[in-house]
Amino acid sequence: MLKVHVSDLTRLINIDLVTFVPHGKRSGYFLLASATERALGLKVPYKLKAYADYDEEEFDCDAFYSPVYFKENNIFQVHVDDLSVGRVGWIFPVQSLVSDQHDFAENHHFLRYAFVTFFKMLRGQLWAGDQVFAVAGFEDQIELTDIYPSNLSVFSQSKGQTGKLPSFNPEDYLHSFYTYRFFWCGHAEDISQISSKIPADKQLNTLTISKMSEALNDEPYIRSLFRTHFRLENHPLVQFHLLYQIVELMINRISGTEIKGILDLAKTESTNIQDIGFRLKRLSGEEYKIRLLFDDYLSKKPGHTAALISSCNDLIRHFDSEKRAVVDALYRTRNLLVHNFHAVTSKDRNLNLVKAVNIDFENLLADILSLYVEKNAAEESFGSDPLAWLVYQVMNE
Amino acid sequence: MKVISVLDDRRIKSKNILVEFSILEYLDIAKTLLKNNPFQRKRVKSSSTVYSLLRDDLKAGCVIPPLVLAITEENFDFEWITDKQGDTRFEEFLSKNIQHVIILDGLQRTYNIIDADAELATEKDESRNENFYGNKVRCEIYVGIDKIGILYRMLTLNTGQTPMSLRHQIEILYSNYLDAQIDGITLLREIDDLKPERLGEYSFREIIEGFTSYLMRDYLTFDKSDILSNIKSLEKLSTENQSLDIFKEFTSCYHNLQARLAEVCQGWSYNEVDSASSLSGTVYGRDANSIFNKSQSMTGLGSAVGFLKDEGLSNGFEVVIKDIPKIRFNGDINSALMNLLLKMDDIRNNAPKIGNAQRAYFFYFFRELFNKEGDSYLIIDRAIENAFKRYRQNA
Repeated sequence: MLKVHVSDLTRLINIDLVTFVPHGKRSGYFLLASATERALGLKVPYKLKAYADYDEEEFDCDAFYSPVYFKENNIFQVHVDDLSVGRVGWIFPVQSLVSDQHDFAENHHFLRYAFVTFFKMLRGQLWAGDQVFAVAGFEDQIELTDIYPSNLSVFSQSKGQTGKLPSFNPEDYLHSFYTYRFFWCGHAEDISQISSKIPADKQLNTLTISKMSEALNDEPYIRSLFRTHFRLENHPLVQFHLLYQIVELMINRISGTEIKGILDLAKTESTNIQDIGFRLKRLSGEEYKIRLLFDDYLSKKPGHTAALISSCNDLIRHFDSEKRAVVDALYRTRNLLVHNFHAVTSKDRNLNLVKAVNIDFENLLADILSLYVEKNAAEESFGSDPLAWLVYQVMNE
Repeated sequence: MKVISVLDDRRIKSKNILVEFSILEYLDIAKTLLKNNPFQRKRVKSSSTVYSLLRDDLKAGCVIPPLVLAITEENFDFEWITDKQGDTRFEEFLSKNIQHVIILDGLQRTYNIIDADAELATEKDESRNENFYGNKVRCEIYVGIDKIGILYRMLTLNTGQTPMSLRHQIEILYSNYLDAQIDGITLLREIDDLKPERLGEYSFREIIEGFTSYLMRDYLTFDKSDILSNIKSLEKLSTENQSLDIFKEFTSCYHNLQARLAEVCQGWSYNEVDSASSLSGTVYGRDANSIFNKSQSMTGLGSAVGFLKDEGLSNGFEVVIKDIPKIRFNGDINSALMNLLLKMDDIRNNAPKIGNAQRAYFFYFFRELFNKEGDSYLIIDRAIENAFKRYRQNA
């Protein structure tokens, strides 16, 4: 709920009555009033064309912040990767709602979302807690940006569109928003915690977001990385390690699944003990598990692999021969940064190359987190290794 | 009504007359003068207890601090004021010029006096009636004060809990220009739902913004009412020549500039077919009038002339008005104006707040155009380019 502090009062007044008053042919103003303080009547002008017939109950909005895309013209459509649904809403900074100077001031698709978002924000529906602001007088004219930070972004969604998905919760898409440099904001104070120096490489027109795999719902650490750790300006090496932790976490899950499969296999009468030993030994290798992740645990081939191979090779070539496959390139980079970081940090050039690796790694990880599938271990334990499967079959014969 | 004393305010070249009114006499004046100005500040709503306490005190016969009024009428002979007939003659003078009376300080007290009068009409408490109507109020009346003087006094008096913004005070003071023509210029009210279309038609609100930018030396004329910015404005006001009507000068200057730009642009208009590939979005303006007849240009001009004056690079609007006929292009008109549109396009794509950035650009543009010591002096194409450099340096 919105709460206002009027200069000559010591208590806060709840704003519980918000009405739109049309003025002229296009726009008007919102009147903020209170059921408990009848003297209060704050005006908030609405400069854009008003679509007052839209029911705000049909829309949802969530707060984000981007240290890159906070400018008035940074208004983007948001699509989900399900082509049958397409656009689910728009994301734009609050200052786009108080100006008619941007490119979307006449875009009626955007204007519908703009009006209901403005309304919902004045009704205090942007975030769970109270939003407190101050005015000098009971009948002041104020701007929306006097209540909310002007550089805050709002992801405004049509329930009609998101309802076409089995379930929709923006928090399941934080990893995707992150690759576009939009960070979840639970409250205005979150903005100050987000670094303004986070690198970005995308020229944005539209955001296409993907849902995090439901198989990872029980992994709070991944969500916390995107909610808190990645919004800080981290040293490139630290950032790489944080990102790589996601790979570690996923290959740990894969280990568990694979071991279960091997144990199930060991229970069968025809099991060759040497084969079991071979499989277990092979599973202890990190590179093998990364390969399993890419080959067996993703519903389809992820994007951005070529970019990651390229940026990894830009770094690796100063220490070793270049790698052709994404797993080789990633694993070699990991080894370099873990075991040979003194050599890497000896030149600023290398740190810039690590930064470039991180950006491609982030994009690839976002894909992996969406494409990850937990397979049936017993049935699929040889999926990545047809030769092992053949050996197993022959020995069983 | 009784005239108590007359003091000479040499700072704002005005007489300050202390007058004692009965409550009934003041009620007569108050009700009339509150109808005078449609832009007069509305009553400030407050928590019900604050002003109900004041009304109760008034009914109990309390003495309130002097109210401060101003009369802009200049033809006033002060010789007779201390004569025996002085009180009667001043009362006549006041009644005759009631249209020119403004409350500088005490508007909310005045509203409460009127409310207390209305409330007493339904009460049957004789003693409260006697306490209220038998009481007196003191008023200080500035006579012969000009509008800049009024602004100056308004700002010095306006240190209460809910101060008015400078822009609002200017709006109140200059609202009489809505009904009068300034050298063929028409100022349009927003509430009339009219938009300026022809040369010489300007939005009153936008002109007020431009003029406020001049007085505040700031192209961002937010309607905020903080005391600090009012005090800063006071310093600027104190340097103004009070014998001139600078609002009229600003409006004329802007109008002359519009006319000259239309003339030198020779009917140029934006050609969408030729230029579509270079602009990324909506064009800022399609001809000279639509490019320059915007609030962004008005605030830019106001703040730029203020800046040049403070820096000793110009004597103000009088000099700028003389310079306007000499404004010209050095090169091709189409290239220069397309260059301007491209710069506005760049600003729209990259500025965190587009409107503010556009105002900043026009501030630098007019600074360049009218700076006699700069290399863009009176040359539009150079001013377009150099203003963008300055904008980029400071953005």
